[in-house]
Amino acid sequence: MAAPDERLNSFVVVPVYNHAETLRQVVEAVLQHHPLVLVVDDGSTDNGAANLTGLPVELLSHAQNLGKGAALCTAAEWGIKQGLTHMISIDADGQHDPADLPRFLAAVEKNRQALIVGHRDFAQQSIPGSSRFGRKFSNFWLRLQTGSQLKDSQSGFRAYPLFVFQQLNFWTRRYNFEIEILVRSAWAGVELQDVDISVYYPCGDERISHFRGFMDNWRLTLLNTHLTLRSIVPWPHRKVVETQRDGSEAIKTLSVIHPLRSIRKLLQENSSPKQLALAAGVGVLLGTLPLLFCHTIAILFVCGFFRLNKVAAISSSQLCMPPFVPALCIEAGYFFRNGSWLTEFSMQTLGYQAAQRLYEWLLGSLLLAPLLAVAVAGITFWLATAINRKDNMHATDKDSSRSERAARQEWTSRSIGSSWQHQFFYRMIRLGGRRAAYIPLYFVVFYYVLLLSVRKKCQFYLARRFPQAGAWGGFWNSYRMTLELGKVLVDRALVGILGPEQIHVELLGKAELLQVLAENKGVILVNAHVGCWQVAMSALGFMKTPVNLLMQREDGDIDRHYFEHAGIECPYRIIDPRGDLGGVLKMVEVLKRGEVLSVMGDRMLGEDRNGVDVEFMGGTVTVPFSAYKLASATGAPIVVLFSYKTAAARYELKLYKTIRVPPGLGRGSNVFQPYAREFAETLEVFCAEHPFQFFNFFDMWQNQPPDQNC
Amino acid sequence: MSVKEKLKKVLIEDLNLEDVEPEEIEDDMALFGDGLGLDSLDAVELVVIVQKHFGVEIKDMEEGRPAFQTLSTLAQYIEERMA
Repeated sequence: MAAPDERLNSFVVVPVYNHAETLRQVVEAVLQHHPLVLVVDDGSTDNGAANLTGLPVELLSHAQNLGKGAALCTAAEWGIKQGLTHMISIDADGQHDPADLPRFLAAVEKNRQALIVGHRDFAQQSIPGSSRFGRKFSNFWLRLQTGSQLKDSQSGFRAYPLFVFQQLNFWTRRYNFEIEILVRSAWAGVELQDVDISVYYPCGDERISHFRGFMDNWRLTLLNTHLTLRSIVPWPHRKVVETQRDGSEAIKTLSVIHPLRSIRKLLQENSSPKQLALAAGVGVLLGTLPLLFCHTIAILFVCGFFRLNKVAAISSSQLCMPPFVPALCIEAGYFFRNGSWLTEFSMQTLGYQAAQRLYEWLLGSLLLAPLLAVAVAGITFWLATAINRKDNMHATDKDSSRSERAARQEWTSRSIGSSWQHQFFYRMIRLGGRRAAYIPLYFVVFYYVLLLSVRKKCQFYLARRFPQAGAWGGFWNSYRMTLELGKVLVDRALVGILGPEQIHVELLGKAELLQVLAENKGVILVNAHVGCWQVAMSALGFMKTPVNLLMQREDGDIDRHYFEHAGIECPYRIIDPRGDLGGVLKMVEVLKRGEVLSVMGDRMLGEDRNGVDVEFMGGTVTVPFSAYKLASATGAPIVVLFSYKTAAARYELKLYKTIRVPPGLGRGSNVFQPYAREFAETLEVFCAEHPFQFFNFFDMWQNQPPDQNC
Repeated sequence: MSVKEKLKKVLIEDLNLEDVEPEEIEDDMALFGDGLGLDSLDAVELVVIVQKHFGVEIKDMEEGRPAFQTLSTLAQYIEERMA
């Protein structure tokens, strides 16, 4: 039945204390099923060990009686020294049948990490009622303390993996040891397993038990009290066996030296979405019931019994804090009894009729507790599943994007905030529209602005725009600018997810734009990092002319463009400046066809070295001049078009300026300087009008750093 | 004057290539990058020059791109279109 190699890794221990009559018989029977037997004589006074002469067994003796637990520990120590991995214990009084040994070996072979306990089937035999009750009682405590179930937790016929003895510490050394090792092993993540065994109970006088009534009961009570109290403390137990699927035998400890790691661990315990949802449900269910002052204890016990996450349960029970939920329960109970709501709050109704209100509280809570519990469990399950999924997704691409980011230290258009945070906002939009996404934004942005690194990025520009702002003003301005950016990002996603009708965009200067388009020389739209270009573009839908965007997409950019949300094809043609000759030929081509070309005028892209220095906001910045050069070569007029948000769901797209560049200006950057300066002036006008919608988070005035106060 | 020679002359004039004589421009020299040292934005200028001096309009950039490799490829492109 059992593989022979399990016999080689294990041994059978027969702890004996004054069982001279049955000892030899038991050992002889054991030897028929297992070659390696150790007898531990726990200070017997009947010289029973002498009966073993001639049998091929190992013998260890305690000079005095130390207890069954001590004997098992001695045996385990010996086994570890022999390099064995498992130990099967069998009682010397003859109540166990050694013929069941192969069953243990088979069970060990199947699960080498488990502690296997022989289950005596009492049903067939005439077993004293006290034994039956004792077993049920013991099983109940085991489950309460560990959440593990065994059919026969009192059985001494067991197979122990020896690492349990190596890694755990035990308090007790006598009969109660057999309880303690079960509880501590279960806490440590060791699986407790039943194996059915036959039962043979010797008749009254034949059987000698050394269970000493009062003292052992007292010790058992002390141990039980300790284990139970420990079990309700929501501090996880040191795991010897990781219960996770990977099966690695890692030992993780909790300590005050690593508070964050400890908390993470604490929260990881029993934290599958289902378990968390159940825990939250239990917390709310019990929290709603009027268990005056006993909520926490009750929740801890129930969580221990069902192996639920205690932190989650206790936290969710806080939702039921007075006065709201008790008041709700009383109202519900009152309605149930009287058919109307309790509207009079007076000494009469709340004081003299307190007993009535208590009764209604109980009644109402019995109605509401299951409802609230199901609702909270459902929400928890949904959230936990969502977070789990995001975490898993995130874990796969996190490493690659981090190394990429580290590889290039320069400025990147990638947004702060990780993928799941973006996902959160997308989800909020789907659930509750724009407002649902705006509300958390106020808090998230506040958190980001608390970071000095974020404020510094804001102040490159803001310190020039508001040189008089003090420290608080600087903080407030940073908040406003970052908030505007957040709203713009939400709007952009909103248009993609829920459709363009979500935002109304008004175009100012349409007549002039139409006039310019009518020249049929193509149009160069020069833009800047202001407002929300993508949203505003919808106002250009009236133009029949195709629009081409010079745009560099960064790899791994998590910020999605609105058309990506909508899952539609990009409505513009994108010209990548990293293409052949910087996409220049492509740009000339589209202008020659009379199309619209849109470029950013305020920032040098990638490898572009065609920049010209112009004055901007009291400093010198380098801006690209390719737009002016293209205009000169093709005769296309330049239109400076900026967008900005004016109200929650309104944007304006305004034609600020038309710049005409004469033909044949030729090579060199200086010839384009005046036109670049015209653009910079226009941007200054915009910044004066909409100071918090120029989204500049890097030092474009690198040559002359402004005084920063942030 | 052959197309190649005229091209060398107008390139130097219109692009203001200082200290470069027409003889110094080799036929198989790359126009952009290491060879003649034009940068990507000069491609705009090239398109203008080719149209102005040879009356050849480069409209489709799928054709234009291979023509912009070297002086000979550009000259060949122009010759084909002029005919």
